[in-house]
Amino acid sequence: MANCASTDAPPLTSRQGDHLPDETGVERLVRAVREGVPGAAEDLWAGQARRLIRAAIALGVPIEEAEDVVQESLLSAFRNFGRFDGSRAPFEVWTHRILVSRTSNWHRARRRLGLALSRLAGEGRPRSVTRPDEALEAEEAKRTLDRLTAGLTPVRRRVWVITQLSGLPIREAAEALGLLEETVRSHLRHARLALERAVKEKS
Amino acid sequence: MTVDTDPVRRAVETLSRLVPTPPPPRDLRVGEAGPKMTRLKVALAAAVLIIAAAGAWLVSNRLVAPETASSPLFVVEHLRVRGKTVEPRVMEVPGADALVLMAPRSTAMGTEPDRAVQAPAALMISSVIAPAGRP
Repeated sequence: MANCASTDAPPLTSRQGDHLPDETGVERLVRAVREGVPGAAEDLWAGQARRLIRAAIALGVPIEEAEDVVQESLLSAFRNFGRFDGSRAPFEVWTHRILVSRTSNWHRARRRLGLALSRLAGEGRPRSVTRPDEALEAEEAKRTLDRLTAGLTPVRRRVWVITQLSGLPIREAAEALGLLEETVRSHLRHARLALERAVKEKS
Repeated sequence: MTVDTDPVRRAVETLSRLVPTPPPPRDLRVGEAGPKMTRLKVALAAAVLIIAAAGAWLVSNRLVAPETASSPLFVVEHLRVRGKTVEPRVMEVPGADALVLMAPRSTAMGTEPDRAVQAPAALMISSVIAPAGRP
């Protein structure tokens, strides 16, 4: 997790010398990418990808689409890397903001195309899953996730995912979602209650 | 308040384990920083150039209203058909050095105007207003 103390520091490109003590691994990589260190962009990509996949799945993207959604998000983040201002928010906030936007677009497109097309595309049976036990496990996990998160509004689901699953602090989550910190706190409180109810009902 | 949301996390973990990590493209392009104002200025300059080019194209293709009576080059006079004065239609032919006057088809049928316009437009009138099907 990015250290909040570093957000008030000048842009990383202006820093000289060795790593600063409050610099996180992600910030070091961001600085290395800016300085054109070979392989730094790939390392930064790999570090963000796993985290974003979890977030995308928790935001309701099916697993056979999650890889594409995350890849598009990261491509967009790297193409617009020059616009990323590390002094305002950490890189994770930047990538999560893009992911949330892409995920919303995905849901919108899915609603337009309709469920029938999604079924034709093979939703619920990922291409990467070939073993029957894995397929069963995936279907069960998806059913559980759908059932437990059914009571969450989209914005509460986003808040819960970004703060509880991706672990961004409230301030950074508010920045990523374009909400006020108080609003994020309120949504998070309601999301927790809804999830707690759902888990109790399930058990 | 402790909330047991482990089933949600477990479901997410189970699903995300089945998703391969998307690899970065071989030619991963990292966008470089550029001052926002510079980008805006470039966009503005591009828009001005496009508008100027479109204007130049319009002018060069003479897609403007044809010059009529006020033109010093062509003085449009009236057309007389069967002894009557009719309102001519003024046309501009791109590339031609003259305005073309056409009498209304209904009045021009089978009739030659007894008065046209000053040369050189008059040279074109006889062929233009000749009624269809007649020499």
